[in-house]
Amino acid sequence: MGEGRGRESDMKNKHILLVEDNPDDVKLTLRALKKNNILNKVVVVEDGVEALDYLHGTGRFAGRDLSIMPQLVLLDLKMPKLDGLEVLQRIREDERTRILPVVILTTSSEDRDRIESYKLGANSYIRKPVDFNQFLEAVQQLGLYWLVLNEAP
Amino acid sequence: MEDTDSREQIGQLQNIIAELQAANRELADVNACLHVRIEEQEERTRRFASFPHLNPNPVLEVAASGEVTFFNPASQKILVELGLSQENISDFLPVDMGVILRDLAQQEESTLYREVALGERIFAATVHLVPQFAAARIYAYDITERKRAEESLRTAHAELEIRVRERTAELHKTMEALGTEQRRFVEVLDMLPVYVVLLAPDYHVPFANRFFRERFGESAGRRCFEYLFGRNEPCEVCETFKVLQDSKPREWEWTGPDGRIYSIFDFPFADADGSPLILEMGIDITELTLAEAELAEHRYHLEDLVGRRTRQLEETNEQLQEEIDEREIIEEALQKSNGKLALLAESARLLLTSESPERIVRTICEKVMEHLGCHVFFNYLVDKTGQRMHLNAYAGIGAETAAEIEWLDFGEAVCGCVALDGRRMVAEDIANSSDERAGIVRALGIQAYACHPLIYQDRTLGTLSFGTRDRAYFSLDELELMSTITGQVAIAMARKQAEGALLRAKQEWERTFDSVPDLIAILDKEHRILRVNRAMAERLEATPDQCVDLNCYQCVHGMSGPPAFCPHSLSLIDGKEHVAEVHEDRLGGDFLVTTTPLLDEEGKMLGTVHVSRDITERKRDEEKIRKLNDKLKNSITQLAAANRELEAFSSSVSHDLRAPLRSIAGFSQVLQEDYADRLDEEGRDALERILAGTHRMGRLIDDLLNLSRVTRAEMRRERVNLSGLAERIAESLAKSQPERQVEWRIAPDVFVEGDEHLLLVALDNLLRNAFKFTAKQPAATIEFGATEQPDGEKVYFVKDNGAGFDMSYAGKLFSPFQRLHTTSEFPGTGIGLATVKRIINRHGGRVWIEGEPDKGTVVFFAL
Repeated sequence: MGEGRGRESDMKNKHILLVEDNPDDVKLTLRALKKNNILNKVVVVEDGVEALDYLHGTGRFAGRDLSIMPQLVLLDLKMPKLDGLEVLQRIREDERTRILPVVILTTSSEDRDRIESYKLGANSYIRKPVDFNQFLEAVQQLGLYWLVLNEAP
Repeated sequence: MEDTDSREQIGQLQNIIAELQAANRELADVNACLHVRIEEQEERTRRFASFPHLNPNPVLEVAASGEVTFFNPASQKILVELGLSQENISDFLPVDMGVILRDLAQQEESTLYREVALGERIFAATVHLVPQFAAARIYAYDITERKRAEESLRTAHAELEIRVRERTAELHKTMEALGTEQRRFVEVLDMLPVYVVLLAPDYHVPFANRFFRERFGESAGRRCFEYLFGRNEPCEVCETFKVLQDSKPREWEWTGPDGRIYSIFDFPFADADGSPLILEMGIDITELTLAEAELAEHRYHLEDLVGRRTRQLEETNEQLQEEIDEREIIEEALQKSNGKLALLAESARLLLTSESPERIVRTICEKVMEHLGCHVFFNYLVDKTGQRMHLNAYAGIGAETAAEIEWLDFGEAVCGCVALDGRRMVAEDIANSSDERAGIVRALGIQAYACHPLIYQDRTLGTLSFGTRDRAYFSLDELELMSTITGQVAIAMARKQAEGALLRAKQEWERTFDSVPDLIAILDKEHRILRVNRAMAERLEATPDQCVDLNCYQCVHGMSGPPAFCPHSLSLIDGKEHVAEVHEDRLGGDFLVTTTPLLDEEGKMLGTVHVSRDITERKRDEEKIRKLNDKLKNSITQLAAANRELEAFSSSVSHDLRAPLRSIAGFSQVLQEDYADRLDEEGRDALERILAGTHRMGRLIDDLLNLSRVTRAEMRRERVNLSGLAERIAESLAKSQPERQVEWRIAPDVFVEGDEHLLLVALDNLLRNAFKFTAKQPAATIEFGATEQPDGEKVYFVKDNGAGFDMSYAGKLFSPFQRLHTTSEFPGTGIGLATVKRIINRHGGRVWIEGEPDKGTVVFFAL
């Protein structure tokens, strides 16, 4: 049991931060994760400001235990207030989040966005396909790598 | 020698004396004989006296009175013979007849002899006194001959005696002289500083001079080897006595008993009595030999020196000789050419003074023909086309023949070949040659023919040829003369052509100068105008001549000195070209002035060429262009802004259109997965269609974004291997539907210049189309390759044997969203070919399509 609890708490600690303003996409992403048996806790924030608040323990998330950081951040680019690229830049500027794995998950197929993302230190760039099946596949591979195979630094 | 002469003289004298004595004895005998004969004659006379009448000699009788009382016929005959008369009979009487007759009485009987001269003849008269008859009888006979013989004998005898006396005296003198000479000779021999000996065959020494005696002592009857060397037999080394064997003189060296060296000369010698002797002379050469050895030493060094010097001299000599030889050759050549010089000088004079060398050629060549004994000449000149030659001058053929060979192509006949090769050609013994090129001259009966090219500075002007009918060969001299004349003619012609060209060039230049619309002035260093072109003069409202010598600043700018901007002044200072833009109201506008230094042959600056271009119009145009440019820049700025907007728009379209589409697609799938069992058949079908629609729309959006990206993407030109790209695409397509049977024919090594990514997109579209439209073809063939158009343009193509299309729709196919098939037949968005066209257009190329329904499609593109 202890082992199981340990795993459970592990799972809780190894949570995912999903930054996504479109509730449809949030729902579909969560479904895709679930479909792929990725049972990690997912914290969803709706814009860039909230995302930073969560990571820095400010605003709505003031007082949050900052020793617990997400295992992975899934970041949309086109968001109100603060867009994904700015969020990424702030994440990389901050000592606490500098090495956090960030995967860009976006509808944009613009070269400029992709290149800029990598420049700012994105670990991966995934374009959300229209076809849900294809999206499932992408999420599966993503979870396998960043949550299972990848050893946190 | 003198001794020998004397001996000979003595011998001769002795001989003469002996002869004289013999003659004397003979004379005495003759005398005795004569006396006997005289007595006989007298006896006979006496006997005949008794027969006076018969006596052939005169007989006379003279009385005591002296009267001739009788004379015989013989007396009378003699008188007649002598041409005397009878009265002359008394001439027979002796002159003392009176005395004889007076003494007659005292004498009893007596006979007297008298000689009587009668004319030239002499008679011996025997007078018989006959006292009893007191008369005397005279018997006379002719003794003229005898008298003459006696006279000559006596004369000869007297002469002989004189000569004997003279010769005897001479002999005495000679003997005396000989004695003196002999004594002097011996004295001379004794005084000589060499030895002289006479040696007898028995080795005795009959004579030795003092030198010999003093050195070696008296021989005292001993033989030479005995008394000189104390030997018993002759010396083995002695050469002396060999003289006796061949009577030839000998010369050898002898070391005497005194140890000195003598140079010996031995001569054969005969004694007074003819017995053989050897005359030997010896010269003491001991010192000489030593001196000679020393001398030889010196001489050796000297000879060495001389030898070296000689070799130097010989070398110098050889060089000199070579020079001399050369000079001689040159002189010879000069002499040879002397004869031709007059001819050459004449031709040169004619050519130089002639205004038209073309016309003077005939005169010159006729002189040359005469000089060389030629019968024809032809002068061809290259015409303006440079491909054929025209007969300019000739001699020795008729006008009709000349008309036949008026034109010659290059390479035709001898002259044409010479013009083509630019080298002399000499055809000799033409009658016996089969050379086709000599056909024309052979037909003219020419035996030897030489053609020279008229060449000036590598340019062939024509040919000059000479031919003769009466010789088969030309001499080198003759050919040389022809060559020289040809050279002269070529130079004269080229000179004339050059003069013409120069004149034309000058006129051309002047026309050009005047027709240039720019204002041109040539200025000297004092700003004076040397020359202006028409445009400049017109602008100054003068003629070109009127402008000369004016100051440019005065007549152009109305100033008293050069203006500050004057580029001419600057060029004069630094010798470089200067440009200035000048606004001059007096000339009515703006000018771009260029001053280019004008240099003389030595590079010294004479002034400048001052070119003013009226740029008033251009200035105006420039202003317009500037304004247009400004406008254009604004437009570009606006366009760029619009473009950015468009980009932002397409980006947001991409994002914003896909987001709801993904919701539709995603939740439709949720429905399908989670709620399908709660829907009926029709509901499920509707859900299927929604999903298919979302997929299609997703693709459509992606294609549109691609199309806009293709338009906006930056181009990078590089070498692209289209074959490689095609292979990769084909491989991926084949993998996507492994069940299909497709034959891929991809030409290897097709390379182009272009943007690799864009070309990949284009080729991907084309091959994907081909793959798609052959889906229903059981044996599909898809080909990629390159061909070349007739004009050299490279064309690339993708060809398939798929569904094809009706060519009447060909124009529509490259517009976006144009499709010829239903989606159910062949899925697609209608963007692919539009994308290809944009890519090809961006490369500056073109693309077109050909097809036929159910046969296939070919898409061509050129970059």
